[in-house]
Amino acid sequence: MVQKTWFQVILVTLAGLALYLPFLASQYDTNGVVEPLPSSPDNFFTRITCSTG
Amino acid sequence: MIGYAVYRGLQFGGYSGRAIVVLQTMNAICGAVGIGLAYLTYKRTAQTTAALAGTLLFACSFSNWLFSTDVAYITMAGMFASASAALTLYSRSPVAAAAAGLLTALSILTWQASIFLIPALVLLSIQMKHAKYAAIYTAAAVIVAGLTYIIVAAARHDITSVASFAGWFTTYAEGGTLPMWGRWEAQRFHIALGSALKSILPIPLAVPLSQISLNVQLGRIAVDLALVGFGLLGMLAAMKTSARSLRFLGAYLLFLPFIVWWDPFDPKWFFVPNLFFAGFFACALTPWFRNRYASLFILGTLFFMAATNFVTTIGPRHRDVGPDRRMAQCVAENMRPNDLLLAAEWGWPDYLEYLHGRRSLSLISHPSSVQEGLDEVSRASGRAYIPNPAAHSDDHLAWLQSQSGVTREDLNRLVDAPAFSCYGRTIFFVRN
Repeated sequence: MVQKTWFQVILVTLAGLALYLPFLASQYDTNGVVEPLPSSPDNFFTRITCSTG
Repeated sequence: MIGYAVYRGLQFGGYSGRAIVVLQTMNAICGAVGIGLAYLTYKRTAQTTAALAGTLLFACSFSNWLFSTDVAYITMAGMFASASAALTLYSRSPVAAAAAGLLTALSILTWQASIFLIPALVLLSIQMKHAKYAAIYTAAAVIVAGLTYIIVAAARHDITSVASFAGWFTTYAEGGTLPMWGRWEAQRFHIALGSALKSILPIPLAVPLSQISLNVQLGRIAVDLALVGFGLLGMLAAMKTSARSLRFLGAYLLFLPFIVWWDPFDPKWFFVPNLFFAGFFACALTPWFRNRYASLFILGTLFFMAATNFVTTIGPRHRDVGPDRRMAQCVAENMRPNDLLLAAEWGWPDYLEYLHGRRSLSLISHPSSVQEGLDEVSRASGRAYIPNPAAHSDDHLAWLQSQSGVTREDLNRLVDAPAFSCYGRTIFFVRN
């Protein structure tokens, strides 16, 4: 039972690594505040800027 | 300190890249270990699928994913918090309880507000009928963190009396702090609740129903739908809530007064409290997992929320250097090493020195150093620049004045002739 739980914990940790490691930020924006672009059907994504607060 | 040691160690081994990549990688590892230990915590109090659901909510929440892929000390504090929570709930010996206290102390030393982990984990210990270990846990955390603070106070701040230590320990005013930090105001409570929600989903991207049209980005509509889904999950959790889940909610709420006082504006500070918020969901949603359709709805909603965070924020931040780095590069290409940029905003000016070796001086945090900076530039035969003050919004200028005393007129007085332009913003020479 204990071994099974630890196996699950390791699996969850590896899943976490798969979520985070391949997607390290290129923007180096430690505030991480988001704001939308003006509406446009061409922009599925939105830009990210620093906060002023 | 840990990051510096790792970076220097890697350099010693031949690494020649930037420190930021090392720190980001460390955060990804800390974030992953943190969610593994969060799962262990939830598994102690909830059924397996519910524990996984809570872990998914915690791991893919906006703040957790964002700061596990970027640089911020909060991620390491979160890992220590998860470790101490797991160890506290599984404690079956005084040694384990003391180790949990040590991990809490490490979290406190990484992020001071983790001091609220102590009452939060004592609350959860009582739930697990581990009250006898709660005292050992508390003593270990208080002694290790307390002694470290006393040593730092004595060594770094020349504090030798109990009264002066108490004043230093309970005041958030290190001389250069901004007025918006460390104060009580009624509206800060609402701001903090907004930041709490922003720590789960990118709320600023949501689009009001009245503004939905064919031209609105699909990512923004996804945020709306994710918000609705999260609201429904909250309703499901409220319908089946129990004393056990309410203790997790109580642990979460213990952090709130401090965040309201300290800095209610930043979703980042909900990183550690969200460990307990997700625990609340894991416990409260457990009864619903007996129903196949309810299970599908809960997991589907959580995956949709995760996908929303990814497509709107995590993916774009990974693929694109972003407008701030582009702006910084353009401005740096027009500056020489002896030049100086006066910045009345945060963001792209902060990249100038680290990425391009060009200096900037913040009018927000160092308004009194302007003349000294200009004199130094003049002595080095450099030029000083300032972005067009007219480009700042009225709200930003009001905020700038409230924080640093710098007014629109002060900025205009610094402006001389236009020097160059980047992405539609004119950069002026500073008047001598």
